[in-house]
Amino acid sequence: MIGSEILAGPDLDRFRAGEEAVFRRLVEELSPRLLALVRPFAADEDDAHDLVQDTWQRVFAKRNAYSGTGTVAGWIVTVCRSVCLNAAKKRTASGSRPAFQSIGDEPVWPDEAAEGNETRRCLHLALMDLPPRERDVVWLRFLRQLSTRETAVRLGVAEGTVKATLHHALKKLQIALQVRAT
Amino acid sequence: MNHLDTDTLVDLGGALDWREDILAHLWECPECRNQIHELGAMYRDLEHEDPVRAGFVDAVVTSLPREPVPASAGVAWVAIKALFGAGIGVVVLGLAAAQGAPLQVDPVILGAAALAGALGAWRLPSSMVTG
Repeated sequence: MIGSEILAGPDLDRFRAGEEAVFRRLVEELSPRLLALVRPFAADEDDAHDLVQDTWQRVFAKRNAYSGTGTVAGWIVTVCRSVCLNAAKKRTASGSRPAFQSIGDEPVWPDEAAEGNETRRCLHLALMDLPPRERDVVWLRFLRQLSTRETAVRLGVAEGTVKATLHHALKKLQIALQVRAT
Repeated sequence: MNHLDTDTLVDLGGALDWREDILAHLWECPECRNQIHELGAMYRDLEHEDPVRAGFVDAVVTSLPREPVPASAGVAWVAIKALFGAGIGVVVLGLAAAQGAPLQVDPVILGAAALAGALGAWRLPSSMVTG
């Protein structure tokens, strides 16, 4: 099965070989979520799409770095975060954008922070900043709606580990929202 | 009394798995009820997706670099086989010339023999070259 979960065996081989069909399915499935994730770093709609496209370019170039131990979606989010932060640094250095307003440890454009969906943006930033394992658990339990048992099987860990990891991850996300509110 | 509609009952039933101990706890525990509200809101925010523009997926897939076709390995094999055949041709010609004395081989004939050997080896299976 090709999807945002863990790629293994032949699917991992096809991913690493850069097979177009595999990448097409990943791009179709994950781009809408990546687009939501990059919003805090993007000046406008064009910029957001460019960041997502840059992410896919980087994913393709670095595809052999995906070990197959976590979800491919979690790994792609890590790549996306790196692309966004690099873009933000370049813009700050060139002075082509206004200075960042800090929310937690992450930069957010002042004009975007004023918009109504700020909570969502902050949550997405916090999600991108979670350690890979915690992000995987949130992804599988919340976004793929797998049970604790299914998540444990996918990640090859005990159910108790899934519960504890999810607890830690959700606490971090809640703290990120509280920081934003203060 | 306004009863809950069927969809809501199904949602609650699936989520709570009809565990009355959980329902009883929720009834008494405002902290857990608050947690449910917060987590529900967080889930809805995380679940958010932005639809990409029409044609975006095609544009991304088209922009990905094409992987080199493994034909380059085939070209290398043809070159190896050609060199192998040319060497055989030269050796055969040398042996043939050694039958008569004095040994005088025209460079044109030597080149032609090498070319013939290379062309012949081109069609040889790789296993014959590698052994």
